[in-house]
Parts: sequence; C-alpha cells; structure tokens
Amino acid sequence: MEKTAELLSQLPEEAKDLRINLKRVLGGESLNAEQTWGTALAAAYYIRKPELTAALLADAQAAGISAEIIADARGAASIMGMNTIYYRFRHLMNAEAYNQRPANLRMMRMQQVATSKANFELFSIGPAALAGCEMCLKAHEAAVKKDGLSEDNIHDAVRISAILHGVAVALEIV
Amino acid sequence: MITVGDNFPQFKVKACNGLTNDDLTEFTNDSFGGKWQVFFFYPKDFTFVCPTEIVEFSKNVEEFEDRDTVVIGGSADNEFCHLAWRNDHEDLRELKLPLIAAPKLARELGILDPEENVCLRATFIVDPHGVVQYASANNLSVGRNVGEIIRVLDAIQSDELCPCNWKKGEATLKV
Repeated sequence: MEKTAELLSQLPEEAKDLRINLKRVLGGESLNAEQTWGTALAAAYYIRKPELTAALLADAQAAGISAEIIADARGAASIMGMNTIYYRFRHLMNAEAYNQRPANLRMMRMQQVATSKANFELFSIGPAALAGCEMCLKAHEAAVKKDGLSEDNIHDAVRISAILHGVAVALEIV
Repeated sequence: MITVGDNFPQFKVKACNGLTNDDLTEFTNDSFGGKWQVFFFYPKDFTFVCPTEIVEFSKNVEEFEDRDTVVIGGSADNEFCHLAWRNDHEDLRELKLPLIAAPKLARELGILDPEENVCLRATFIVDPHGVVQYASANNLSVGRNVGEIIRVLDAIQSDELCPCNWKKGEATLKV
C-alpha cells in the first residue's frame, strides 16, 4: 500500500492514530483482500476526498484487486450516495404520505452486480454508517448478514469506513 | 391482445437492419442477450405517419440503451419491403434500429386490424425474462409519444431494491 502510506505520511502528528489504524485494517482482519479493498474504496468514493480515493485505487490495483470489485465499489458508493439521502428522508419523516409513495428512482445497479450481491451489500455498509441513518444502517446490516457474512465482517467494514472518514478529516488539517 | 404478465410469443422473424441485402438478418426471442425489449408495430411501410414515429424511436436509441433496452420496430410487411422503404425514404436511411417482418408474430400478439389486416400501432415492453410488462395499442391513425414509452420504462425499472425500502406493515426491522 505504497501510495496510501505516502499520503498518510502527510498527516499531522496529532492524527498519528489514524495512520496506524488505516495501515492495520488495510492489511486485512476478518475480511479477505477483495472485501477489504472494495469496502475501503466504496467508503472513500462516498467520502469524496480525491487524493485519498486515488491512493487507495492505485494500491488496490497493485494488490491485484479485480476491475469487477472496483466496479461494485463504485456502484455501491454512487447508489448509496442517492439512497442514503432519499431513504433517510423517508425514515426521518416517518410519514405515511412519503412512505407509501413509490420512490420512482432507478437503482438497477443493486441487482446487476459485477461480483456478488454479498460484496455489493458489504460495500454499502460503510456509506450507510457514514450517512448516519439508524434505519438505513439496520436494514443494510440485516442484508449483509442474510448474504452470509458475519458480525466480525460487518464490524470491520464499519471500522474501515470510520477510519477513512477520520483520515479525510485529518487531511484537511493544515 | 397479449397483455401485461403474459409471455411474449416465441418468434423467429426476418428483419432489415441496414440498407443492403447483407443487412437482412433474423431475430428470435434469444437475440437480445438478456436485455429489456421495446417492440413497436406500425401499419404499413411507405405511408406518411409511420416514418415520423420510427425516426423518433431511432433518435432515442441511446436513451433506451442506457436503460439496458433494445428497440425493435415492425409491421406485417416483409423484410424486402422494409429494405426498399429504408432506401427510398431519406429519413429512414440513418435508422439505428431493426425493422422486423412480423405477420405471424402480429397475429399471435393479437394486434392485426381485422378489416385492413395490418398492425395496429401497438407497443410492448418485454422484460429480460420474456414477460410483457406493458402493452398498448393505438388506432391506426394515432401516433405514439416516445417520451411516454421511456417514462413507463423508467417507472417499471425503478424497483425499490434497496434494503432501506421498508414500509409500514412489513415484518422485521425494529427501530
């Protein structure tokens, strides 16, 4: 993870914990390499910090992560970019007037996955956590488990996403 | 007439997909590689209202492609007639969609006008499983609005696939 390490070296001293955390989680814990990098990329795309995304993408490719995994990370981040706003609105309003209306939004990419439904759902969990909507998060957590992943997997996916959010904040500290 | 929920009939049709004899081809139900299909039928080649509609569908081919959808035009005329018309009519030379020769298919779809024995202006949206999701037919003289077909296609394809889509009254998910 050469490019990411290079970027992390620019973090201020006060953000040292984040540097150490990110290097550790990218090394892989309960998630395999594809799950780890896909999760990290989806979270980074969602956080929208171009230098962080570029570094992670370069390192993912160097680690041999397939184009399909990257495609699903891009798909999950974009669709969740829309859905976390729309469904959070519905969940927060909790009004029949909106709950019963069809969303009338295309989200076909959730079905047309490049790798697997399990991967796509896993990559969606970070954005759901980052959006900070209780019902979105619960719904996606349940979906990931239904696809056969463990609580350890989910926990690590959220940890990766949380660390990346911290890194993005720290990169703005001058 | 075949309608929503019915299987689109099995077919094997000749088609014209260009301006030369080499562009004559054949289509079956399996020709569209898992995509959605929009079939639109019109009464006769070499008539006035038809090319306007066909050109309008053709102009929107990219919109349909974006929606994983192929567009197929057709009438009860044969493929050589389609070829001759495409060569004869300036607006049809650049057509970006095939025209099928579909007298048998039209009969099975139930869209032949009983008096004139030509296709009604019928439109079908068929999903990747071959199931009809939309069917409509206009009087022979009433043209279609392609924007409306795209609107319907969007609505059909806008399934709420996100697990977030929880509605009151459905089981599970406690907050």
